[in-house]
Amino acid sequence: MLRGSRGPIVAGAGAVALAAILVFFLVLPKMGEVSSANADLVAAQAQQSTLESQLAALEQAEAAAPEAKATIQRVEQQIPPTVDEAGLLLLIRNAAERSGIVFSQLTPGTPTLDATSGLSAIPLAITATGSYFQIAEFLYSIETLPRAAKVLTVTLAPGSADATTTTVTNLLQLQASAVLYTSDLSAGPGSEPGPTEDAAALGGA
Amino acid sequence: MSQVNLLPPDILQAQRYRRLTSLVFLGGIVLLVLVFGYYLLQANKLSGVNDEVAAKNASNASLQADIAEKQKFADLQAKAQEKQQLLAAAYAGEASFSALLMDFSRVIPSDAFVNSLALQVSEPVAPVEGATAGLVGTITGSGTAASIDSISVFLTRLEQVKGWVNPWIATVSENPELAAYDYSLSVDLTDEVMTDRGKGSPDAAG
Repeated sequence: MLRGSRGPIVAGAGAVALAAILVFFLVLPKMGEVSSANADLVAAQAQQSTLESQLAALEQAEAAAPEAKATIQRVEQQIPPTVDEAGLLLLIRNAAERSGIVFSQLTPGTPTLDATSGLSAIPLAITATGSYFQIAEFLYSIETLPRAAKVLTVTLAPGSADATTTTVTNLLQLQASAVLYTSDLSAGPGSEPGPTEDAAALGGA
Repeated sequence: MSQVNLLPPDILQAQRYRRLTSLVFLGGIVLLVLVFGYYLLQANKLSGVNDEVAAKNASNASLQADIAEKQKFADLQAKAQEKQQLLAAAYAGEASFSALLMDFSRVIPSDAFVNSLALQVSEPVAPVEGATAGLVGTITGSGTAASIDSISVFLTRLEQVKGWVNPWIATVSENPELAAYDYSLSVDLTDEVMTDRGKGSPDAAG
């Protein structure tokens, strides 16, 4: 069969053909599998790197968890999940007592929702009598209340003198407006009782 | 003595072809062995890579389990940030009125007093055309001073307070009963009067 001058050519062609078949049907698919497996390995390595970064960030968050809890607790004290009008009145009363001013009227308004901030603002009108520096101290007490409060306007006028005497006093009448906050989105008369679900959920976390 | 080749040339040629065929056949076998060897090499490499992928996947699964377990801390941190943003929103635009009153008491001359005083601060808004940017409030009042000089000194001092601008005496009128001068004043307040937390400083909000 392989006699004559065509013998080497046929043998060479046969060997090359067989080698080509082997390469085509065995080696190349295997190389493809290796390449695919390498791509999987690279993807797994990239995923591992990403996961390690995520885990590192979470470990940092875990380390900072006590601080985060303290922050949530502090903010909840400053912006309570309900109006807590009783506490509000006591805080203002205590501030007035500390500074020595005397209230003549305290008017908490109906809370209104500020959609931008997601807070309900509780307007508070204050009318009181005291000396200039007592009033300054009272305002300082309001500014440093454990609950978030913001004074918006202050008007001072001479205090009402006793009509039966002509004694000159250094008392001034204070009219101030301030605003306090609650994270209860529906607060005040006619609202859904209790804290807003989301706010409560945040607080409970 | 001369040599005589008795082998016919066609037989010699056939022998040469047979040898060449054998060589080519041998070369073919070597080639096939090499190809098969390379195949085995690749198979071995694939096995190694697959093992590595499996190990990485196992490691990643473990990492994902750890991440799922610690996700609550990320949620907690997000909630804390959300709460801080709420607090910052609550205090936005805050000014210290007690500080404003103390500043006012420091700059009023000793021979002048006020009969009425009104302080008002509002949150800074985006500047509109024609409006002056940076003004957040006003102080207005009226009172009595011993002389025009005192009112002038008062006016000068008002401008020296940080965040107080445009001091203005709107009226000065003689008060014959007290032998003095009644005045009315106004001062504009810039955002410099705001507290740190009013300016949105995250550290100050707490």
